[in-house]
Amino acid sequence: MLRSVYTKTLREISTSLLWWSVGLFGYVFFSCYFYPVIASKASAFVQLIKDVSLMNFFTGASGDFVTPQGYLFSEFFSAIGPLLLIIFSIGFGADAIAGEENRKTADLLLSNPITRSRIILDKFLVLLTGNFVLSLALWLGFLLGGHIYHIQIDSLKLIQTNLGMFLLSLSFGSLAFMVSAWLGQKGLASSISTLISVISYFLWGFGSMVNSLKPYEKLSLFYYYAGDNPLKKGLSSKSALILLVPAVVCLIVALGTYEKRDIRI
Amino acid sequence: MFAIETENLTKYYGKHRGVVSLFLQVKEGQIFGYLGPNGAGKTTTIRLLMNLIGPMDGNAKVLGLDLNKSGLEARRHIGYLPGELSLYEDLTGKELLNYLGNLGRSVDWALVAYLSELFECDLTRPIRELSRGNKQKIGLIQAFMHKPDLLILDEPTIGLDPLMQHAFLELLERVKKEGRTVFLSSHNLGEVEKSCDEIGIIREGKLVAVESVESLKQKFLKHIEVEFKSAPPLEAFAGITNIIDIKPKGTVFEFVIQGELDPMLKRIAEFEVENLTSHDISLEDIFMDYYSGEMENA
Ligand SMILES: Nc1ncnc2c1ncn2[C@@H]1O[C@H](COP(=O)(O)OP(=O)(O)O)[C@@H](O)[C@H]1O
Ligand SMILES: [Mg+2]
Repeated sequence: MLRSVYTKTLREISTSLLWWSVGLFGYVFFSCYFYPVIASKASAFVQLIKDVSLMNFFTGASGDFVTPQGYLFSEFFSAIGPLLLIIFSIGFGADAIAGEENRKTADLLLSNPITRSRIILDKFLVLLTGNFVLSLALWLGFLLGGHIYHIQIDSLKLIQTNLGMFLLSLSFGSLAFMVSAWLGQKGLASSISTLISVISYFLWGFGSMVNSLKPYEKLSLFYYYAGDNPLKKGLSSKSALILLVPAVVCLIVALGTYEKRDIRI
Repeated sequence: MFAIETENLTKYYGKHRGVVSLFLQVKEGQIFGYLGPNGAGKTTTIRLLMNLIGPMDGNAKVLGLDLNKSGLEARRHIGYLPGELSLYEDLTGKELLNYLGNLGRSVDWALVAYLSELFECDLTRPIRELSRGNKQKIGLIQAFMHKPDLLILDEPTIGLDPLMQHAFLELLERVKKEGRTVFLSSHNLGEVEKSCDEIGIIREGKLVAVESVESLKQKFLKHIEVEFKSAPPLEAFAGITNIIDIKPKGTVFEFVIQGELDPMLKRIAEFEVENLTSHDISLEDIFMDYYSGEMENA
């Protein structure tokens, strides 16, 4: 596990990655377990809330607790799922480059005959791997839970939804990664990215309720991930592409800015 | 050829001075002591040489390689000990060396075994459990482990006990015999005096002098306090040219001497001496005594 910056960094986060995976898997699995109970009670709840837009807000714009797709989307994919992934992603992204400077190991690392771009690429690969592993854990949770508790979900759309969530959280993680590489400040990297992801989330959440916010909805990455319930409609390749752009741009900026900047002590 | 050669190397941190217009030349095969008080710019110079920070002006060559173009190739042949050393706390010493070895330096494991024995260093324990001195030893081992042509060591003896400082001097001897170059920084004159061939003195970001240890010793002003049984006449010391000053206080005389001690010692031996103390020359003394004139002129 010490052959490269990639494997060494993966080793550093492996324990936390494992527990995150277990936690996400468990959460998803039990969401499936509770589906039959919720579905029967939900009809009553739906009748209670007359305002459609308010309902949309609660259910992540799906207005639907009753169908499996509606339930799972509002229960998991519209909020808690992506937000958890994003928290992990920003956490690692912010630490990736600046963490070595905070812990003062950067001098030792960079005194080796290794290019800075190599370090950026290796660390970014860990960001990708982390997001991938968590998305995989989620997917497996749904696959298993759905199978055991007989929830009918289109498996292709499930994969598309997971892919969308992966790209979404990768984007915010990449943003943190970019600031981390550019400025070498971990706190700043995580607060900027957290702020932007929260704004992004609310822009999308309120965009569906508040008319004056409607035009700005499209500025939110959440819109492309969850504009319509992807469990029902899948993820269009256009949306997938838009979700990919921030990660690519952030990586390029990270490569460019880290190359020549002063390493902090 | 020079192992290190800088031209007009200049670094400011915003408005704060790092180093100013540094022209530094370190000959191959030399042990070069880079001496200066805290905040003088030693670490700044070293981090410029390691490409960790970039200069605002000027340029540097290390082992004949231009750092702008061939920094990576240069680092292959450099062993570096950071000033504020921090290691990966989750690894053991051995794992750390392994990891660093995988990042492009070819480790000589027989040498690692020799070094860990020399420094009595346990490489199997997690680094987080080690004392500061033991971490410093691992820092030294990683700097030496690939037999680099040039060692750049930022305050290497900090945290080492006297025994280990001695082991370190032994290691320097060995490196010197092999014709390799060492550039080490220190704020302690006594330390560099023991190990170095040549000393560069940096103060407030500027290189104020480069001297061989021999000639520097000649220029030091030594302060020697002699207590006599009964005060000798002052005229007794007239004509000894390297006595710069005498301050008599009763039977205690303070002599300020430049260079050779011998003539003065021979003269005081003609009187009955009760006690004799010599004060270590501190870096501040050098600045006060030797450079004060230059400073005032500047
Ligand atoms: N990152 C930094 N930002 C601002 N000032 C700095 C920074 N690093 C060093 N300095 C300043 O540069 C000067 C030289 O510091 P340094 O090279 O660390 O000295 P030394 O190693 O000789 O103690 C000091 O005045 C120090 O305060
Ligand atoms: Mg220093």
